Amino acid sequence: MARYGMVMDLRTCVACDACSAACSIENQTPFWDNKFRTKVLDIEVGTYPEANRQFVPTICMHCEEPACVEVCPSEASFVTKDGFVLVDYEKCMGCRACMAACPYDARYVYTQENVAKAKQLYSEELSQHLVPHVDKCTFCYDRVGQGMDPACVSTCPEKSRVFGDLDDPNSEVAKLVSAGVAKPLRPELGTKPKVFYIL
Amino acid sequence: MSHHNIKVNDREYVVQEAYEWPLAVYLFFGGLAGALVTIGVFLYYMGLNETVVVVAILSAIISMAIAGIVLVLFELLRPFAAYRSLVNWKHSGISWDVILVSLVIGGGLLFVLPLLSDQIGTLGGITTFLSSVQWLLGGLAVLAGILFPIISGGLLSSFNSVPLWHSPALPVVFFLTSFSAGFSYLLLVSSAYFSEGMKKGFWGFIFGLSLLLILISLSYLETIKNGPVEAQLGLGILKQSKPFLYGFVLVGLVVPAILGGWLFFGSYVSGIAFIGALSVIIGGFVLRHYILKAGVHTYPWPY
Amino acid sequence: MSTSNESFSQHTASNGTEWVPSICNFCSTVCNVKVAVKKTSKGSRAVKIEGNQDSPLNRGKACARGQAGVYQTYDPDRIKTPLIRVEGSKRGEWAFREATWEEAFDYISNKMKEHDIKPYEQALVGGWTACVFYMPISVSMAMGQGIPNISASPMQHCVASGHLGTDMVTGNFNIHDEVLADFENAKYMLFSMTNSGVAGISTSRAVRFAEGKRRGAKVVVLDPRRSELAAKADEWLPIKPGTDMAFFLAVMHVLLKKNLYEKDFIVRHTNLPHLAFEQNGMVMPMMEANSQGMPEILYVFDEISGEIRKVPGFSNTNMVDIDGNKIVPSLKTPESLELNGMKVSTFFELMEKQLEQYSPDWAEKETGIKSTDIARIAEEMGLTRPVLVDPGWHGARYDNTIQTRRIQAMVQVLLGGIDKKGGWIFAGEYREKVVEFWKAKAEGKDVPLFRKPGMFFPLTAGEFFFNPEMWPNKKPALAFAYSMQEKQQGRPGVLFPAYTEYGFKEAIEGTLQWNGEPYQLKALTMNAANPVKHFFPKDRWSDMLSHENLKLVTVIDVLPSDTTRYADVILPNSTYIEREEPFLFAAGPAQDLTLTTRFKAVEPMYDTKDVPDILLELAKRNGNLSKVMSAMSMLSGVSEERLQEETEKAARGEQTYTKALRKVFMDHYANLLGKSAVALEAELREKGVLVLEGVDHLLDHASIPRDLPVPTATGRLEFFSLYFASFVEQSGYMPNWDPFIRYIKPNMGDDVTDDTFYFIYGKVPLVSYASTNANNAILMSLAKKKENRHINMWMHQSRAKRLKIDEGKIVEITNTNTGMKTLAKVHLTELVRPDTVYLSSAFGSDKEGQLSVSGGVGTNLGDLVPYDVEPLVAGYRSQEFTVKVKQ
Repeated sequence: MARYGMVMDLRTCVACDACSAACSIENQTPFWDNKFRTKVLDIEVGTYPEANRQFVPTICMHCEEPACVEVCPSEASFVTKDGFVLVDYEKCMGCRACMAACPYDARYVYTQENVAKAKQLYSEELSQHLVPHVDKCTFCYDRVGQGMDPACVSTCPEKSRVFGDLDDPNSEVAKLVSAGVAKPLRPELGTKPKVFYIL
Repeated sequence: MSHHNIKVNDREYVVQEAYEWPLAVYLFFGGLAGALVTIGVFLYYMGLNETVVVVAILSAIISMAIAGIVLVLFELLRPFAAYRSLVNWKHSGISWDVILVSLVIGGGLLFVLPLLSDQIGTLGGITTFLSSVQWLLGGLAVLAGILFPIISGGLLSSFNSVPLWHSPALPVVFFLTSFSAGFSYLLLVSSAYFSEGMKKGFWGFIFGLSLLLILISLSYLETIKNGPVEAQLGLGILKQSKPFLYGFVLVGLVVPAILGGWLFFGSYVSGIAFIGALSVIIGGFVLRHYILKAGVHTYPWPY
Repeated sequence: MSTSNESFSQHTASNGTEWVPSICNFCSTVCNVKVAVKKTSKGSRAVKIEGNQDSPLNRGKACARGQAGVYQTYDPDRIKTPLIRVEGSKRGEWAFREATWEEAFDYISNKMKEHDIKPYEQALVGGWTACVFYMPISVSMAMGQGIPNISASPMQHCVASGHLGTDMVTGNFNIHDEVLADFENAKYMLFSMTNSGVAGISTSRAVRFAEGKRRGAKVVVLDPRRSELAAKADEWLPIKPGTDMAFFLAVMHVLLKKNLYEKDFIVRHTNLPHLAFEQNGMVMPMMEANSQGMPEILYVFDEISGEIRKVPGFSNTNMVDIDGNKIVPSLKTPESLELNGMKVSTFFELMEKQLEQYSPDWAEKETGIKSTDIARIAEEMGLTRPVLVDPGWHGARYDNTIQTRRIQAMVQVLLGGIDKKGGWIFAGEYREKVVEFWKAKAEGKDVPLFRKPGMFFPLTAGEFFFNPEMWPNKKPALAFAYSMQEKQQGRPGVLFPAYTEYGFKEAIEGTLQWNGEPYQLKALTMNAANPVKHFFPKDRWSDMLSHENLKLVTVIDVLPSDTTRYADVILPNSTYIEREEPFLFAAGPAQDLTLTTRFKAVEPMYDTKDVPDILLELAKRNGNLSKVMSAMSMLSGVSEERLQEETEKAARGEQTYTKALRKVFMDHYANLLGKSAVALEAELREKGVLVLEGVDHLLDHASIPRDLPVPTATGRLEFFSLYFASFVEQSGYMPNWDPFIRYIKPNMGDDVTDDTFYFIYGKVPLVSYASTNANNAILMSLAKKKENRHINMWMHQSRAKRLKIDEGKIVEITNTNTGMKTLAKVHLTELVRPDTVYLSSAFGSDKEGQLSVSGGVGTNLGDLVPYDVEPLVAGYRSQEFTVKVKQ
């Protein structure tokens, strides 16, 4: 059993959006409908000449107390033994309670139209989304199972994303988190997020 | 469906998109039905004209059915998977909502069947049996009817992701508006069956509920003013919405309180009662619709 | 709460795939990638692209463009069959009929015959891929067939118009002459006029930059706007556009005043200790020259003996005189030192004198950056090691860009950061050529043109293309002919217009003459080039291509660009994942010595061909195949016999030309590496890129200039450029090729009040300058998500308020010099100088064009930037104007 987590290093992120592209290709998410599982915000702060841009990658936090799973009536949202918060597409009836409950903007609706377009784009055979459902980041559950890093982590040119087992004291994520370098966002919401940020 | 963002000081705030008007319809009809069943059962045990009771409870069942259909047809991505809504009943507020809906419909239907034995017969003795456990069925339906607006309001208020909703005021407001809508509905559809005293009593309830609603709304407003920016943005959306200002603040709050007071304390004018009752009902729906529309998420991005 | 779900499983793109090595085609960073391929009932399909973990270039990473590249093959807008323009239609109307390859080739042959088009009346026009991947074939096609005209788009935009300045100091100049600087080991980094080269994004640099930043390096960025790179700066200096040169001159001023330079390094390896004299206000080296004007003997003042000593005209070091005695050259000379009756002093002393005027106070007036900040930054750089001045990407922009890059290089040399950890480390490929060249030289031999290192390559190629005697019809490159014509008419012309489109317009319109005879351009063969979009202004090229004097326009491309519709015949190219390459390459400017190539990941979707199979078929039909192969052998040094043999087989239809060339080049490299071609190919297939020698090892024995001379005229890093000095001798003095140090003030006018602004453009990470990559649906979706930042025109809030312009409003922008006008959507922000507006470049494509995703998106710079080239290499002065903005 592992407790997978991610660290976002905002010191080096240049908002190149490699992560968003990699994710949407790996997971066939509806980029054509402006929906992404991971995004990079480009936030302007301050006034000239001190004004700056803060790049903030966002993603599902794979919380240990996930509000989305709690509220899901159908058990479509669930947590694996390794702490991945997932949606079982077949079980999701699409009530969207999880979307409202999530404090991290991590979910969106994979609509019937999206399903149809995905089939057209990727062929029926290769399409990963066969029914409409609420969609979210999986921490690349499938890739991690094969020993790979999540698609966003693996492609990030600036290594602004680090992935690993928070319970393994030798992992980079565990070190960054335990040293207090990487911190969760809004811990007071009580969701115990497993994504941490280095500001 | 795309995110509707509000930009303040270079920060973007996201207005929730999960819940749209069908859910407002569901919340409104569900609350109305719960109140109708409750009032109906109480009226029955107060010994009132059975026709009124039948109308109240059948209206509740139809409302609930509408609420359920709206929920199923418009809200779900996969209506045929709706049965799955009961799977996580231990934790999910939605599951409880569905259970309560079922109890209101089921309990109400079984409660009202014996009263219809003149029209439908004994159905092979079923109604006879039902009448022997009628108090239990009525009790369950009432419990569900009272809990429904509270639980559904509670579901929204449990989302700390949306500070405007994240307030204990929400279940109370839903409860109050449901019951004033319930009384108003009966005043509209079965006015002829009530004595003027009875009607005045109803208006007494509506007047009281309206005053409470105003009180709670004002204190809610006060907490939001000092609350998170997202809640204030939500409030901003409400303030800028003319349908909300006229439809709820004026029609749903002020008019019922004034007319309710007039009708309860003063002389009873049926035209005014009609307007008052209609106002309450419109206000109840508008409130729910705009509360959903004003759900601004708080996303904890560090800048 | 529900935990675990045993029945749940999913298969995403990377599951159950075969990985095929390739090279990204979305920008000239040329990252090594792997293409994931899945088998389906309808054949193989590419489903994902990732960076190649074995690559020392991009280290397993791929940017958004690299990732999104997988969709290009499946882009419904692709050119699916050869197309021939319908009889009676005009170019640009997009009236084409589908044709077979045979018909298309026949059409070309017939047009050539019909109009009796001579070789010199043709030109090849290539985009950057034609340069990076197909240079051996492009140049062989030209030389072998007697076509002296090649326009390659990187030259006027980037390579010549920017890097040339850097190269004049370091001698570098190659296909990947840009230096992959060692950001990760630097403790201090300074960037100027670049976003594309690091964060905007070049993955090979971004990986290193981020590492350096994580290790705590200080980052200073000069940019009028907060680019992605500037957003990562510890200090952002919103410099006045076009004045970066002044900043660097002041930095040099401070470094010299405070003695904060690497004295030992510059004494040994630069020409700063060489003796020089002043004559008529010009600085000249004291030297004995050979018949070509190149130095044989140079002079230094030896500290040990206190005498003037002779040092070799060409060497990597100044520490040994021509008699083999060890000496210690001095940077300073005694008062009134004389040689041959002339008062002499060192270049160092002359530089000090020249820099006196360029103080931080002076620079403050030019740049708008406080003198105290300039002085402090210069001191910080002087006191930090290793320190790195980024060499920069993309040139053009200003008359002074080349000289700015040259001064930047001088700062880097003063700080000792050449071919050293934390500084500029030369590319493995370039180093190998340098090693090979000096080895051959020592043995009294020469190397083929494509193996010539650094500046020797363009100078030799220039001599060839500009020399009428080298061509069967005695016509030099028409760009050179036009320059001569301009000079005869009293205009400056362009001194070194290699591989440019300079004069193409006049040659088409019929106003160009050579030796009193008309020199006409009648046929263009364009490969992955999109000049209508990328060259300035837009109308220049669409007018040229529409001209009736132009008899044949052949276009090779994957997608229909803004240029494609001006074709007579369109020949569809396979995408980069559908093809294997005929050649082997170095992994871009990787510091290690590497070898890589592409493998075909999927079969072509449509009736498309690879570049060699198009170009060599044309050569064959012209009866020139054998000559082209001879040229290729001469240029590349591969066996002519094998080239002829294999391509003859291809000509007989026994194999493709691509396969033929691939075989010969694979054999060639296998032979060099002492292994079988089969083994080499298998190794490449497995790893995608081979590291033949690591950078640390290379630096140990082949450091330039510590172990080997640099390919300048003197073998030293040159502060006084002898090549530039020879240009002065040849064509008279222009500040653009001032061989020493002189500020060139940007010429834009300073009236940037009210509704007038400086204009700058730049690159964002989601856009590729490659011809048609803008049509990528995923990149467009990501870009539109941040449309205000990535597509719209940035304008400072305060100025917009005064002009009453709101966010998202459409405004009209007018070039105040030329009156050219276009529209842009405004983004109000604090992230840009109030006197400057910014647009992203190369976004979108023509609204009327054939690209459904990119059509009509963004503002076309070609509507705003005039044809205004500087006189050295015809680089575009693409920002040297102001604009008026009105709602």
